[in-house]
Formats: sequence, C-alpha cells, structure tokens
Amino acid sequence: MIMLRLIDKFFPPNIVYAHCDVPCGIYDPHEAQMAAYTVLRMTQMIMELKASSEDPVFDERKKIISQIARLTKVKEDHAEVVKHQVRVIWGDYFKPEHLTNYKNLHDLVFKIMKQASSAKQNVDVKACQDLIANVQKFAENFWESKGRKTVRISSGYPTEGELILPQ
Amino acid sequence: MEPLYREREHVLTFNWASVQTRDVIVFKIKDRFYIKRINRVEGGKIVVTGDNKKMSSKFAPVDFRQVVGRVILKY
Repeated sequence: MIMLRLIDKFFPPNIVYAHCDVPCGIYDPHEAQMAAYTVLRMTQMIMELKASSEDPVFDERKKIISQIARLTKVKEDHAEVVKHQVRVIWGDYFKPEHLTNYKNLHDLVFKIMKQASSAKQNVDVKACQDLIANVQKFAENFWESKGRKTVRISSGYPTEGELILPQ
Repeated sequence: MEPLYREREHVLTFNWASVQTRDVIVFKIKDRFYIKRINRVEGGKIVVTGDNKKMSSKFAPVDFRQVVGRVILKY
C-alpha cells in the first residue's frame, strides 16, 4: 500500500467522484414510499416487543434493549431516506411552472418533513401512516406532472398498504 | 460511497474481465470519473447506485463502453 501511495506521488491518479452535479432527469418517488413503509414496520416491530414478565432478568433486558436499538436505528435511517428522496425530487425535479397545477406542493413537502421527524421522535403508528399517505400524494403529483396516470397496487409488505406506481 | 470508500482514499481498477452486479466500478462521463456500485444490468446498460443512500445522487444508466474498470483495491 505504501508503495502504491509512493507511486501515486510521482504519477498522480485521476480524481474519482461519487456524486454528480449534473441533473440526469432520473427521479422516482418509489424509494421514498419503500422507506416510509420501513419506518412503519420498524415502529410496529418496536411495539410488538414483549418481555416475559414485568421484571425480566438482566439477560432478557439486554436482548430487548439491543433489539429496540437496532429497530430504532433502521427507523431513523429510513425516515432520513424519505426526507432526502422527497427533498431531491422537490428541489431538483419540480419547477416553478409545476406550482400552477400543484399549489399545495410546498405545504405537502413541509408536512412530509415534519411527519418524518415525528415518526423518528415517537413510536407512533398513526404518525407513520400519515407520513405514508402524504408520500403517496407526493408520488401521485410527481407522476401526474409527467403526464403519467398512476395505479395503487397492494404493497405485499408485512405492513400491508398500497404503493403508487405509474401505469 | 461511504462507509466502504471515503474521501481521499485511492482505488485501483482492473479492466481485463467483465463486470458483474454488486461490483464497484469506475466509469467516465464527459472527462470526469465516477465511482458507483452496479445495481443491475438492464437493456444493455448498467444501472449504478451509491452505497451511501443518504448522500448518493442518481445517475442515468451507464454504457459498458464508459466503464473504466472494476475496483479491486483500496489503499
């Protein structure tokens, strides 16, 4: 490794980027929907956790705490994915002219940001369902703005619910 | 591409074999090099994604001829 670094000092390698600054036109709210359902599922799994008694032994406590930590981590991460994906489509894809047809777009995105935060802060199934509903509205607006009709299909996820897809 | 590849790390690529799904590749678009992971091959093009889902920007599918090589070493 040191040798390779030394060679690179004399023959500098090309710089490689992990991100592009060029809008490629590839946008899809599907990932936001999937992430929103993951937030719901993690919330459900946290709520489903049960101890064997009111005062479980220390080993069982450790196991439960560990499980809650893991589920919470995934919940947090996916709520951030929802926010990121929606922000990218809102900020990069939607243009001022779209606002004529989607007057509530800014308000909808604002609600999604707040609901994703609320889903992170709490263990609240209703907050997650509200988040999913608004992400679905956002997905419908997105596809409609591209002249595509949408269909609602069964998600097939353990959470049940529907996904918005272009026809 | 975090956490596997971080800023200022160096990578070595190999281009004597065909690339496969899940390989990390370097490809070139308009004189600029990019590093991404192959998600799938669709319609003769390579669909790439970043490991860091929070930060990754989306790329249009990449042509095979744009691939510089598969990343085989990080140093």
